[in-house]
Amino acid sequence: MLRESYLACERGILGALAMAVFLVAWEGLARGWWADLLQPALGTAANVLRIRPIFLASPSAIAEMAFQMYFVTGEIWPHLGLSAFEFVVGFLIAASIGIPLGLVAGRYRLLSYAVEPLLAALNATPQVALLPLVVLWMGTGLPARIFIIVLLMIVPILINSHAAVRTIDPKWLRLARSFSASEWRLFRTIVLPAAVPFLLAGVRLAIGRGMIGIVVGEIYGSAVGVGVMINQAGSTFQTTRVFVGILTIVVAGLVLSEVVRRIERRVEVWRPSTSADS
Amino acid sequence: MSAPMSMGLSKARPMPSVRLSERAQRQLVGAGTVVALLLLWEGVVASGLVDPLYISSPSRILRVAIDQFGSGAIWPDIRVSSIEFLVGYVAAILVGIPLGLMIGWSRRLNYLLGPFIDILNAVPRVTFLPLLILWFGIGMNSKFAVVFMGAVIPIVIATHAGVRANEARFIRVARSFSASEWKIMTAIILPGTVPFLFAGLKYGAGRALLGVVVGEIYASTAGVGHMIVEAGNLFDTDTVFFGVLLFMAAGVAVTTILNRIERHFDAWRPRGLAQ
Amino acid sequence: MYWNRRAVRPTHRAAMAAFGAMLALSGPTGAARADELIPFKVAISTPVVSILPVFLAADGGFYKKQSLDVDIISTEGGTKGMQVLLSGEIQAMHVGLSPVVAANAQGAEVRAIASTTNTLPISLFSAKKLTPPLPKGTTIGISTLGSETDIALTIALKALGLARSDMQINQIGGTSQRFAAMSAGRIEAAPLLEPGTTAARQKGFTEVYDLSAAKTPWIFDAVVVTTDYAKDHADAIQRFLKAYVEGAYWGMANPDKAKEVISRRFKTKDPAVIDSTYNEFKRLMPRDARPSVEGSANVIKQLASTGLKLRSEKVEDYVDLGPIDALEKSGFIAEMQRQYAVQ
Repeated sequence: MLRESYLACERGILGALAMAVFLVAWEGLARGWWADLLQPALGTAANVLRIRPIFLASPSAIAEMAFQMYFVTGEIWPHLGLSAFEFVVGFLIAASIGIPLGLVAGRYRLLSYAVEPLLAALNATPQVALLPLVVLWMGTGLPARIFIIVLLMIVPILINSHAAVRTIDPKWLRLARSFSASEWRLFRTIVLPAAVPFLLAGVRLAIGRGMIGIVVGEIYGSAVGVGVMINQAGSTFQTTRVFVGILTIVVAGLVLSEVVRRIERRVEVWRPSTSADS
Repeated sequence: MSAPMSMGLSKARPMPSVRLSERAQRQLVGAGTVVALLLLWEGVVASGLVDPLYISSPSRILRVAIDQFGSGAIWPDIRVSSIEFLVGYVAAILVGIPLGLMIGWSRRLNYLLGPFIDILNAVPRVTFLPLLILWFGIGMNSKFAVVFMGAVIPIVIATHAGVRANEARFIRVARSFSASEWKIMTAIILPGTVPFLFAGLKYGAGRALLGVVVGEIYASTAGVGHMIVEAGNLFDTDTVFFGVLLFMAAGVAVTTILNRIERHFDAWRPRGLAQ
Repeated sequence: MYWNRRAVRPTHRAAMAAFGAMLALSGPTGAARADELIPFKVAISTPVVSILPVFLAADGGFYKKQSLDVDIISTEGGTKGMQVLLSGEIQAMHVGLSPVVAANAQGAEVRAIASTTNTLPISLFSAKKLTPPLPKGTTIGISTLGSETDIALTIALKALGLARSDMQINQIGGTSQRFAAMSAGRIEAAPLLEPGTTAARQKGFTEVYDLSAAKTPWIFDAVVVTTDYAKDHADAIQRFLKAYVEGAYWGMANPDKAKEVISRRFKTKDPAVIDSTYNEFKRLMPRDARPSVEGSANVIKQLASTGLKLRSEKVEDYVDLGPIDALEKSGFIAEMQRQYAVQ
């Protein structure tokens, strides 16, 4: 009975256990618990296990600082707000350019041949290398940051929507054609539904890259943004604040990927058997 | 050419029946587009419509490339960036594959380590750069760290997914023929994992390259990314583009090498799993 | 499981080629030079007048004379360099006192032990003739946030009655990078020092605010080490300081050689820039390389006024005069004064 209920939530129990052990071990490093504990056995060598807070903030200090920044001073909100704004606008632009462009390019054979090498090159390039150029073109303000996010997000969206159309069995299209369906109807009834799972996979990848875009786009800046806050804290050696920034991005990333996963599960039924996403 | 960038294995072979003439057509159109775009770029600058200060031009970039390779000035930077990439990426492979196999093999280990992998996967590893500089300095060590962190997570996740994709079908059969655990590992799990593994390796290579670029942009004393930043501050657009092209070439080269190696493993792949 | 022979070989070759390439690439770095030399890595925030003794000691051969194998790297920014010092990658960082105060406030243990510049040799320049000098939204370049140029900018903006938050402040890198970025139009204004100030005047840039005119006692650029290193390697530090001080004296006594160093290290051929950089060096360099206590107190006060919570406001928690005292007591500085006949 007990064993069964343990097995039912083994994942949760073991996961929580591992996390707790990890946090305690970390706290102990920052607070010198382990150094004190091993002092009799190892002598001064045990001091290796005592890590100064400037190098590693303790979980409790991070939690306290996070609480302060979120609920007492509220100073994190403007940073978070601006970064979220950059992300959302960047995503909307990337999706509204990338999806139609990819679908159309995938639909017509010659057009597809024309864009394939460009997509491959774009895909192989770390687009962040363009950051210094983007700064030259648009400075380091909001437009530049959004641009770099669009640049990163549009690649998987473009590639996946292009590939989505190319994987549709041509038989279907020929069939629809022989019933003299219009091009628009074809798009709506065959191309789009078949493409949705691919598009979502692209969106999921784009989200991860968009987060990179936020952090990278804010490297140069000095005013507002979570990335800026992390850099500023790093420059003033406030390691606890750096960790609060990282934690904020972790939570945002987990929430976003969970949202996409839910949507994906909902459209699972549509997924053609050819696409196997991990 | 352009398989979808998913971690999975959607091998999108565009046309089911590829005739030779069509392949020729494809290459012709592809190459033609690239040439046309380059000419357009050159033309726009030559006609004075756009100042080359902002967008450079193919001929100007070529001149920088000839200059840099001719004088050999670029090699130290290429050397530094290559070492950063190779050390971090190889370390990620050496850690990532065994770790992925282990958490795929043992359910409990997966439960224990899963949350950490999920959390690291949710945060761009370049976010850690301010800490990595503090921990490892401005030299190559901090780049090794960020490249490793970037590449190891996708490799672990892909290997893990590969092991799990096997399990149900083949292992029970093998067990019923009383195959040893070792035999099952080498004869079934590993080969079945290969296609997933390569998807992870390719994705990881992209992240590793990203780590080199961002790490060098953030803080460095040498490397191609360092060269790009310095050129950017001087408004030397030609050199910036040259650096970006070097990274593009590196990306294409790594992908091509991995594709080649993967093709050699094709014979290894049990039928019915890959497609 | 069959490995097709044709299939395996090329893979193998590729792997071996990759491995070979790695070996070839990593080869030269591992090779140690002469065994008896003590390896010592020092970082400068950027090549400017206030770090000149670091280069003079190298090019005059004084590190070798002290059995040091010194490696100089540039971090393009003081706070970044301070992070590098804390990481243990380098033994000494040449940087102003502000990052020292900021780092110690967060629990680091670093100290300034010798100074080249006990004042603020900085001028704020604008690329355009603007009225008012710096309108809202002006893009201003600094090296890194929290470094000496950043603090100097804060002081200058305050003196001009401008709000820091109204400006677009960009982390660009050292003086030469900021000057180049200003010339290229990437930024509109920047605090500069030699060799940047003369170059900026020649270029016709507008001097918006001259911080050096006030002659405020300050520690703009100093040799900084961790207390751990100072405790365990007092000998290496003495050797470094000897080479560094002798480099400075050698430079002051041999203008031609020092100007060659300036030309080569700061990558400039302009005689006016070289001359004024050299003169600025002679003007700034304290003859005993001693950090000014009054200047230190000013830096501490300035940072405390920005709201930074300090662990202490005592100068000795940021500056360690022990090594320079020891150098003076050994008679080395008097010896230098005799040998190079510099007043």
